Amino acid sequence: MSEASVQAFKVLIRYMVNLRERTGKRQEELTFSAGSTLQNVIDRLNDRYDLALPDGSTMIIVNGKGWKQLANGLQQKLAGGDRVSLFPPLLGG
Amino acid sequence: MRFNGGYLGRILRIDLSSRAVSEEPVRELDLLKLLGGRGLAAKYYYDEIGANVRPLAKENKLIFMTGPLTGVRLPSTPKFQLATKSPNTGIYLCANSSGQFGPYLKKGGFDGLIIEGCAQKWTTLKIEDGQVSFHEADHLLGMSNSEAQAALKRDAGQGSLSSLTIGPAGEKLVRLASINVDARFFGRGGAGAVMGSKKLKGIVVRGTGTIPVADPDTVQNTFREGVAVLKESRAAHTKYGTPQFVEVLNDLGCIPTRNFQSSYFEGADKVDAHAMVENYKEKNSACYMCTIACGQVNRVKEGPFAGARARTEYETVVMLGPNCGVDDFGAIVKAAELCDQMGIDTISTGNAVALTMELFERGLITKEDTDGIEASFGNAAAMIDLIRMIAGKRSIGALLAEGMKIVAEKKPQWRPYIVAVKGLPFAAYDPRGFYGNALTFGTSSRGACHNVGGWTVRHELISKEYDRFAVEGKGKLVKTIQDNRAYVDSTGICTVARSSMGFTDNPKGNVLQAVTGHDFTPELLAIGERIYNLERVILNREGIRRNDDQLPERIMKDPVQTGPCKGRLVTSEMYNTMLDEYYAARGWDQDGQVKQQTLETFGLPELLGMHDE
Repeated sequence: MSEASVQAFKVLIRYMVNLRERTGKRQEELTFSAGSTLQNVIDRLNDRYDLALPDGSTMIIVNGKGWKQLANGLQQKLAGGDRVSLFPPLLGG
Repeated sequence: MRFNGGYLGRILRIDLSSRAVSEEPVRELDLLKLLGGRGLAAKYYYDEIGANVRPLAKENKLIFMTGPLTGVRLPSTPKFQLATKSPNTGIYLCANSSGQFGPYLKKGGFDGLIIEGCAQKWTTLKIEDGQVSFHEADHLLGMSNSEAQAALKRDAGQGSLSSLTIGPAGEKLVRLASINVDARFFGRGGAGAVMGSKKLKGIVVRGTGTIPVADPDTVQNTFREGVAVLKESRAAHTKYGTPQFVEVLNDLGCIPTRNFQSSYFEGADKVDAHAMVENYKEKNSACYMCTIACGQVNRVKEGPFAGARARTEYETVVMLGPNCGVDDFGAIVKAAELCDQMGIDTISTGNAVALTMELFERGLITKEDTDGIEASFGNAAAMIDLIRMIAGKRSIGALLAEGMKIVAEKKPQWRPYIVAVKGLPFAAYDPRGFYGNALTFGTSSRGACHNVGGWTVRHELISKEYDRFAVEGKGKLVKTIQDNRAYVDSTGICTVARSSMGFTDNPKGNVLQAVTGHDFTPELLAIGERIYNLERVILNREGIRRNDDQLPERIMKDPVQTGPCKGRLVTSEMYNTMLDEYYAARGWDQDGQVKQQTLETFGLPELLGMHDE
């Protein structure tokens, strides 16, 4: 097993509400190489599902926090077991 | 009047005791300073419903007020407001509803309607383009809301009309009773019992006139653009409605579960919006002038609840689902149907059922108290039975029908399990997952309401300065959202559509000027803040202080049992730190009373005639 694959990690992506329609999935685990950031995750999702994240019509939540609340925003490094949730903007209340 | 549209300038007043009907002008100053809707209703409440008036006494009134946009040909303009003294909390109640009633009231020539006194016999009112008639209503007694509205509309004939009614629960003065407006609701706070106390089963309104607008071309263009924007940007609301939040908030660990013992429901995928759309959704329903049509009408096709049909919102699904441990969406539809037809608030009822289930599981009540029912969490049939007991004031339902304020007074040993502020049960958010929401529920003008109190969820997820588990900053955040909501509630527009017309916490746009001829926009947040202070003046007059703004023990002492927020609390120390910041931002003193200087800042002494008192 190469060193790179040893250092690779998995992120759980949750697709909620209409994101489930757009991706055809409820959730999936994707593997990333060591040092990958939220931007890398988003790039992969944009390629795979023809999305344009971050956009004004999708909330991106990482381990229960909005991406703008992360210390390094989209450049935040992720780790194994992290969880990224996508859903439409919360309107109402 | 300086306004060229949006307002009719007249209020209709009906005294049920004497059958006197009168019209009166609206003060221009009140509209300039309070906009309409919720603000105007609060002003009439301040003037006419004193601190000593009891909620079910004939001296209480039902004050319905529209806003300048209500009924105007713009996207999503159905909203009108109600102020009355709440039978549930014993204090000021503001409530808003959709339906067609507000628009047709205005098309009939009035900005507002005040109902006072008490009829000698059960009565309905017909208001047809300003002509008021009184009708005997004995034949409608015991009818569900749908039955009563169908009968009223049959009698009134075709055309531009709307009806509001109470169900059997309102007739019986259940303090959780709602008012049904074309199958939408004044839900919280028990206004249906006020109507019942006045022996008023329903009102039909017909309006065939037009609502003038100052600049018809701009209004028309705004309508066209707004429809296009909303159709695209609110597509998820059209398909899934507010139940879309079930999945999202469960994932965040904020969904009330088993009487707020937990904030994560393991069976959420059985009751979320996907389950609803795939298995239960019959059609969308739309309010007046709304292209979003977020209402989700559901029908149960098979199983023990087959045939049940109801529109379900997020709050209803959660309070009658996860909060009762129920993972059967069909049972939720049945429970919602019962609540809607008997005329009780689904949020408060879900809380009452969940409380009963926790008391039962803890052995604090037994089958003797529940008419032989095994009232355990997850028992859908028991939930349905308990709802019938509450609506019919039977068995333990007779006590629960008095509302949580009275329940807590009569059963102090149950207080650790009662999840309410000022007697109004929590809406479907767990503040241990969004700390700002603790202040929302604590300082809402009507008790633990997510709307009036300021819905923080979005801000606490998207704003860098408002992390949901932070204490600092939440006082300012909640104040701003409350002020925002207070002015929006005074316009007549729906909150789902409001941002498309610039009604945010940084108000923009010219739609109010196009409708009224007056440029309210730069003043909107100040108007919202004035309204919130006016409401607090009323609450202070009714004895509300810091002690009444405190959270229930469940939130401050019992850690969340499972899920992403497992172990979290909003302790008394954390909460009171937020409350101090909030009072400071508001200009209220440490006991939660509006300071004189704050009154002056917002011109309230002049507006309320305080110098004359």
